[in-house]
Amino acid sequence: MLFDGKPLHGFQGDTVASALLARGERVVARSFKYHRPRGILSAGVEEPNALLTLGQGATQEPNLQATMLELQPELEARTQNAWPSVRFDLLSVNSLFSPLLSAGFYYKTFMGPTRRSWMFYEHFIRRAAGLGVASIEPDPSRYDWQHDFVDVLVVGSGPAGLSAALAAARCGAEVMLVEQDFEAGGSLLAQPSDGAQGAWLATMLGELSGSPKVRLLTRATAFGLYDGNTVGVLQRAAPGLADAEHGVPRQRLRVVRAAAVLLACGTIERPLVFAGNDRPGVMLSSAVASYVNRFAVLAGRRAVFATSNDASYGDAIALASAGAEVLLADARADARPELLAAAQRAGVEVRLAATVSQTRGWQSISSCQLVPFDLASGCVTGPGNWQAVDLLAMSGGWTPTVHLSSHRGVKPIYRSDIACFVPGAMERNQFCAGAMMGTQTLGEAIADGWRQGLLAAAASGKASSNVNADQAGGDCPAPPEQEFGSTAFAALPPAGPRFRRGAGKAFVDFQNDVTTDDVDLAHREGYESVEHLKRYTTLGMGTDQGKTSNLSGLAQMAERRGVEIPDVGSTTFRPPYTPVTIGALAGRNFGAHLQPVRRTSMHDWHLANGGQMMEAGLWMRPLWYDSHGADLANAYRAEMDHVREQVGIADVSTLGKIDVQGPDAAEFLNRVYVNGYAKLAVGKARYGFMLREDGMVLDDGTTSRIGEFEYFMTTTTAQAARVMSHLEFLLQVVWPDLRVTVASVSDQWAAMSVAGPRSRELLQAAFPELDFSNEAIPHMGLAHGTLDGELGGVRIRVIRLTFSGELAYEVYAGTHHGQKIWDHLFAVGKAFDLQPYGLEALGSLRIEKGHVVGSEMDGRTTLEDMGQGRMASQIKPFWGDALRRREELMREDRATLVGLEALDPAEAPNNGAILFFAEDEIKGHGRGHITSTTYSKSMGKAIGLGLLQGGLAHVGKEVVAASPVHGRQYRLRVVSPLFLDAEGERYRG
Amino acid sequence: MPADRPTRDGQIGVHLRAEMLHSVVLVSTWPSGSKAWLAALRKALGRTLPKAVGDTEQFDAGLLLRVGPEEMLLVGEPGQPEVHELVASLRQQVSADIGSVLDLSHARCRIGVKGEQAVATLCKLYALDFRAAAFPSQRVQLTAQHHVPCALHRTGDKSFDAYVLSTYAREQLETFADAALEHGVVLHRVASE
Repeated sequence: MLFDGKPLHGFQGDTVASALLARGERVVARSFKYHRPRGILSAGVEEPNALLTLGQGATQEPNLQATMLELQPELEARTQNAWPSVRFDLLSVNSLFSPLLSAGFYYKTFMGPTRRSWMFYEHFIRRAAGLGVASIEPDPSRYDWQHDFVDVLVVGSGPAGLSAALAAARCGAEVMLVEQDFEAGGSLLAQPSDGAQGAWLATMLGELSGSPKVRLLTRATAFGLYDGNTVGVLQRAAPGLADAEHGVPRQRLRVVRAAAVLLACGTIERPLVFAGNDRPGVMLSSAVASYVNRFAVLAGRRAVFATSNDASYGDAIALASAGAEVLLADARADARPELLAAAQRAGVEVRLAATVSQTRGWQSISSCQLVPFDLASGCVTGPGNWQAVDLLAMSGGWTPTVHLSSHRGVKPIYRSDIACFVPGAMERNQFCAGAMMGTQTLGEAIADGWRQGLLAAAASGKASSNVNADQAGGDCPAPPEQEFGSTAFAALPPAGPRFRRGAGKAFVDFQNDVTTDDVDLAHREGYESVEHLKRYTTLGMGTDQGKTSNLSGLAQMAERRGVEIPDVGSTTFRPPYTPVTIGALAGRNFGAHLQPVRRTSMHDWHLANGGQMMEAGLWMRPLWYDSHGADLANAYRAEMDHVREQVGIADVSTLGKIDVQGPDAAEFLNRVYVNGYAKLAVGKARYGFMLREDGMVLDDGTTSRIGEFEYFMTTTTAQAARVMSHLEFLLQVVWPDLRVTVASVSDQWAAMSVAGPRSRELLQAAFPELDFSNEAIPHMGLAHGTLDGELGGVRIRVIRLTFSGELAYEVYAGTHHGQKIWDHLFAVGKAFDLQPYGLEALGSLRIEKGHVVGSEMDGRTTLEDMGQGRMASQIKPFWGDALRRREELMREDRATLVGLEALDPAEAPNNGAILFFAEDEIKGHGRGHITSTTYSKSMGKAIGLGLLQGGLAHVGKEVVAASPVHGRQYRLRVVSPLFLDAEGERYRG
Repeated sequence: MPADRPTRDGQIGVHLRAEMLHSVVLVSTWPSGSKAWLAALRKALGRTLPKAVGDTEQFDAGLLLRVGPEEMLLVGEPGQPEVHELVASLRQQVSADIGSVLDLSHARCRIGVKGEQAVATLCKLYALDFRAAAFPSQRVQLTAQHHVPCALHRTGDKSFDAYVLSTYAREQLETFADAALEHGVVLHRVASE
């Protein structure tokens, strides 16, 4: 792979971090704020320092931990947040100003002189301080997501997770075991692979991988625990597998729904807090062992281990056995004799009651000061001495990984005996096991995992609640011998100004450059609660979310306040546990798959005939046809003219269509619509409004009576689903006694509106099987029939109604026949100069007739606002009737529907422009707004509809339409909304 | 959309087939009419009906899917009665005061999903438990992808029929094909809407 443009070599199974350490790279990053040189601290997901940027251009991805990146040939990584390089970073000048850059510095300094000043400063601050840079180009990689259902989900494949998974699987449960690393084993991977623990791991993995009940997913991080045992798991592709062209994702987000969830998330080692603890070459003790045992990499040759627990003995011995010169400083006054003996055998010098107080070095550590130390009092008890080192390994104890358990709002509980928080009582069917619950030894962790695995299997319904060994197919495989023990949860050495004074910065949070001074400052300034501390200092923020820093910060704050750690509290962990790419969250749902696309039968015809398509909800509809003009304005006017003068056809398949059947259908419709439907005759249609319960207009439309108990309702395109849902609600909840069924038939019927003076002639010629005379199909009349000839067997339904104000018919045919009927109409229509018209012309034609649509029925308007109050029946109840009479809705000065015409014919106002009287100051919300506008050739000017306070009482008055967005004003006159053919002679034909 | 998209190593894991339907009839009633409606429908079809929502039964007239407590979808194949015949014959028993009979032949299309990776494909689209115990063969589940409804009928261990709304059918087919891409996919026949 390439690292900063140069080849970086390693072995299969290496991480970028292990390869860098093997090459002797010490400085791999610069810190967030001070740009201090930083090295690799850990060997896992907790890494706060070694963040790299992968890829270039569109594939660039910042802030990836070198410790989690598998080495692979095609990888291209580079350091970030430094210029010109991490070795020589000019921005490290920030360190010189560090006394100024304390916690809260930005808040205090960059707030003036005006409120907008921050916007100016922010640009420069973000350039100087921060993490990597994300690409703004579209990511060409493939991402995916999927749903999984399992009996038991086990998170973590350490000792407890493995035994839990095996226990559950042996009970017959289907188990998914997820592991964030690319190898299963958890902490066992940091042990010698040829030792007892390695052998145990191999045995367990052998049985699990051979079990048909178990799915073991590596590279899979459970990043969030959600309602109903739903767990978000981000799975990364193995090196070389991702292939966008063939649909193989680089990341897959799994939404796992488990009957039982078992968390075996382990622990994270805590750093010690002392002056210069961030120098490259200062690492976590367990990481040093991990690099030796798992990756065969020596992190240093002259090392000091500073610890307060047994686990570091094994780490130190591992390093010493690999050839390093090792000294171990144990803060405790005593250690178990067998540990001391083992250390002696390995050549590790042990100093008890000693710890590290500070370090020296230029770009990496060169020496550290060891001081005699009293763990009980936290005091240095004598003068120190300096040790020349190239590696300082530290261990301040272990912190259970309680993040996932906290996602469900379960507060962690502090255990003073092991100085850490463990998960509180989990929800039903959720279990925690192993070190994250405070088990002290490998044997305890394995036994606890087994026990919790059995419980999880029982909770999933795959075993009895008091499952025994027989049911589990035997006992847990015997735990391997643990030579060095693991009483790892040691008391924290106090974070210490006593070590640090005059010696340099002591970091609590490496990623956010939060020092002990910052925590002290927060305390002095009153930010004492854990949540305030976090926000004031940024402790625990960033990509690592304080995995190594939280408890150290809490410990220091507790000490300053003179209280116990639990009294300070713990921060609330929220998903995600580790960063999740936006790509993974989106999955395949972008671009063409961002949302579903709904197409009418005639979709391809529109495209082939110059239809300029637009999204109308999820539908694709032709806005205009380029055969009628070079641009929208010219085309729609030509289309309007053609409808007014000849005959046009529009695809109105998008209308909502609902079948209403049943003996009580008439009564149902009578209650739903504001006007009467009980006496609607078979073969007739009626236009009506329906209201919401609160009295506002829900929708308008036409319902035709097909038979005695059968009706065909049409709704607006936009409200189709809403109306359907409304009707179902009324039938299921309000009037369950009515014998009525409703079913959406929007997909059953293609629909086309044939409009214009010659529409009757055209249809009569096209469908001679039907009689289109005024007598046979009067206005609001209905006919249906089966066609002959080439269209033999095709059934059509024709309703004579108008939206344009012209003589017009809606022709319905089965969706699969829609194109045939459309083509047939055009074939016959040649003689009538039939032309298609689009949505813009459709909308403009209706404005001339004052017909309202969603722009006017915007959810805030009443029947009276629409000027349709007289339509409401006075003799029957209907849905929404009671609340529409509220005093507020009956006020005379409500904004109601008016027509508007431009006083300057050349100027067309914008939809949404605010209406004022000519004498008003143009300010605020005005007296209403324009809802729809168009240019009317019939009127020779721009016209529109609007909602104006007082409505038609102002007919003849001049108003001003102000469009603050466009910075323009228009002079208009208030007129009737019925611009054309007030007598209806045109459509009555 | 290319008809044939194998994996990098030439594998085909999913076969898709899209088609319009010979006949689809929705037979439904209101809650108080359930008993009479079931009796009428049983008489019309000649034998026992699917008992629970999600159950299916094959009849001479077609496959009957119980998609709701008072809703059944009868899907016919070529060679079985034409839809208008079916509606008429059902109407003889399920009269207007007993329930509704509605032709939805144009309102649904069927997308067949078959192959070793059928489940792996569908689990990307639907939040359904595809394990055999939860979703056995011959069961139908009402589900949705992106709010687009679907009646998903399991016809075998590795084969499904998805009944989707016609106006979404092309989009859904593209979505299925895209989801199946990593497994290798063949589109056997695409019938236009």
